[in-house]
Amino acid sequence: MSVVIEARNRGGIPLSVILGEILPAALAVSLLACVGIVHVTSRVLVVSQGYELSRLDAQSTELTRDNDRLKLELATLKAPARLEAVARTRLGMVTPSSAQVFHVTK
Amino acid sequence: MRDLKNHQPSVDAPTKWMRVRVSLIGFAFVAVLCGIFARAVNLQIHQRDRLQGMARDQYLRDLEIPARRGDIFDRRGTPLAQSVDVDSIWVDPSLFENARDTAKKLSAILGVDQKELLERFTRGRRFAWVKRQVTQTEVEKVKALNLPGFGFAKEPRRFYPQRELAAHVIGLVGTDAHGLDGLELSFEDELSGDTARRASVRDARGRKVLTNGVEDPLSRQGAAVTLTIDRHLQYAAEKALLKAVDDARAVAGMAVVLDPRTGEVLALANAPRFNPNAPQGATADHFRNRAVTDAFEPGSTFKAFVVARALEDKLITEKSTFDCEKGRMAIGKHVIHDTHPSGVLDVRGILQVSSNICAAKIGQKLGRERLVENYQQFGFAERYGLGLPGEAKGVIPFPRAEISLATQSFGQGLTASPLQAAAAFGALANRGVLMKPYLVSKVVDADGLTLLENKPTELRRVVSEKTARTVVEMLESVVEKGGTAPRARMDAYRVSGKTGTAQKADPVARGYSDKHFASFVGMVPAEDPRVVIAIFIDEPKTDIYGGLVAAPAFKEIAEVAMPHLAVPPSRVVPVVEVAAAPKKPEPPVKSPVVAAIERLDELHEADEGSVRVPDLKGQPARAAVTQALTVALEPRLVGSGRVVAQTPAAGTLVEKGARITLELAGNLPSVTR
Repeated sequence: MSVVIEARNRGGIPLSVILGEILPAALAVSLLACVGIVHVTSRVLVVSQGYELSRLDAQSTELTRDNDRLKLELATLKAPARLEAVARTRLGMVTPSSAQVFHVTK
Repeated sequence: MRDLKNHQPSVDAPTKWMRVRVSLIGFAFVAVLCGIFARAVNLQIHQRDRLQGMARDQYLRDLEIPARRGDIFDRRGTPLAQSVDVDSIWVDPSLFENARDTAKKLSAILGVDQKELLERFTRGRRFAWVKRQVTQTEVEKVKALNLPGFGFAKEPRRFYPQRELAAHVIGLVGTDAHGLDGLELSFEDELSGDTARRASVRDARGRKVLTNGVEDPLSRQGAAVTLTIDRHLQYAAEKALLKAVDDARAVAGMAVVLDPRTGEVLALANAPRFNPNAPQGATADHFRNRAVTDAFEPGSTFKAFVVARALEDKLITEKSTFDCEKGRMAIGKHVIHDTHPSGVLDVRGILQVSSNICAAKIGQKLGRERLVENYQQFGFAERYGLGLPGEAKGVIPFPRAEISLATQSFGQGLTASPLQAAAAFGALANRGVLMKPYLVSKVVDADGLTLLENKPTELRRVVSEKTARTVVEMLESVVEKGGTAPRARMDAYRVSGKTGTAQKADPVARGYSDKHFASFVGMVPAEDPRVVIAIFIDEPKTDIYGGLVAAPAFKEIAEVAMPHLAVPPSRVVPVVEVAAAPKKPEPPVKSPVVAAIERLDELHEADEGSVRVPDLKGQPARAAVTQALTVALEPRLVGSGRVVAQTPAAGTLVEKGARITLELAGNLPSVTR
């Protein structure tokens, strides 16, 4: 580079020629550097998001399991045999006779 | 003069040497590059698979993501079968210091045989199951041991939150989540879903890194199956059936509740039953879905279909009369008996007292071909394809002999399942149109795509609307006074039905045994039936008659079903105000002797609440039962024939509703009624 500038100072090579010779190479190098940086950054981000996704997936699975367990518990608590036992023993309820059932018509 | 020019050092020499050196270096570079290229070819092409495998082993782990088995719901969306992930315990036996000691500790906590555990540890070098699908408490106990080499894997486990409810319909799954029986087996492909295998990136610490995104869990989920079963009616049916079987000390029982207008099976109950959450200890007898898989001789319930066909074909009218031969009629070498001897009866009377002799006479009017064809029209000897394994077809053999024609007219000498009987009565209830019974209303996959949907399907018109209505109206007499099933009568609703007491065939002696099938198939309300309820009790021991054994179960189910289905009552029942009794002070504690004497005094004084036991000795069973019921006593029959002894003795003052045991002797061979 210094040789080229020296030559230019001596009035040998015009600036346009220098720019024409060096700039494409410089741009190409810069572009490659940028692509490299972007690629590495994206890979780092992908891995980091992979960890995050993995954490969220585990959390989601755990919540789904909890939800399933709760649904099961609810269904168990609503089993007719249990409801009848609770209604009869704890609440003192009895099955109404035919005469005690009123049908409401529209 | 020497040519100095020639002695001057040559300018070409270094250039040449330089060229040689450059060539050498160039060659060396080329050689190195070729070497690198050759190595690259070797690594990338020849050793590619091996190296790729090594790399995969280091950073990829194959994950098996088990599919979530689809749920099973009742008609109102209540889950009957659900899957929940639970822990399974595994070990790496190579990390054990003392396998025997570990097995001993685990055996104490988990209740697994110590020898079996030790065997598993020896068989599996790096992996062995300790116990699968354990409880949270068991997991915590194992963790508290703080032993090396333990792992806990999540596995889906099937739970049945309603326990025994509809267990025969739903079936059950094994440890590996494969259906073993019931709908779990029939709909295995739809329910099981797709187990996914996926490679997941792992970092140096073994942590999962999901760089390729997450698969939608719905894509692996099995389809949901919705049934026509109503869990409230199912509960009522099971409760009533178990009570009936228990009271009658019977071997088994079956109950089918059907909507005659659509063919939907609202309840399908069997006794004995099992808990699919803990099937250990249950025998094949408990697992059998008799209501669908068993075909047996149904007995007198079939008389309704014979009468319906004869009316339809105008071979008889409502007013036709038949001579019931005073309870005894000879056909060739054989003699047919009626439990309750009758003289001349009209068609309604024949159904009401369930005369075998008159039913046989109507059968004779129909003829062989028409009788068999009639039963086939009503859906017997054909499978409905309910979706349950082992559905029975039943047999209607062609009655070549005269006696076969006679017996088939009152439901002996042919076989049918409880489901078929319920569906056939459904045809009468549905104004003569036979609907296809169905149990699964729809199967929907996780994406909401409907894989199967069953809708009410008309199979055929069996009899005209007029005939069906006439027969249903005639069958109302069965539950009225003088009929065979007054215990099925309801205060608020008109009930129509038919009893059956069939003798069971003895496959060894090739005749009929002294064992019976007691049944009652009815519909309610009779003016516009909303449910058909079929009750079958196998080998009852206390009483044998359908009107005594099966009819109470019918009534119990119907009393739950009518308000539950919001069916308006057929007649108005006066409301009896029950005033809350004032709380009495606690009576002083009396000695048992004093209490007994006071109780006797109360019985003598309480004219309205007590009755004198009538003398029933010497009477035929049916007359004795009728007389006992008339004075509000509950008869229990032991044996068959005429009453030879009774407990309590005649003249004893007992409470209304008390049970009176009648010992019978003398054989009455055919007791279908």
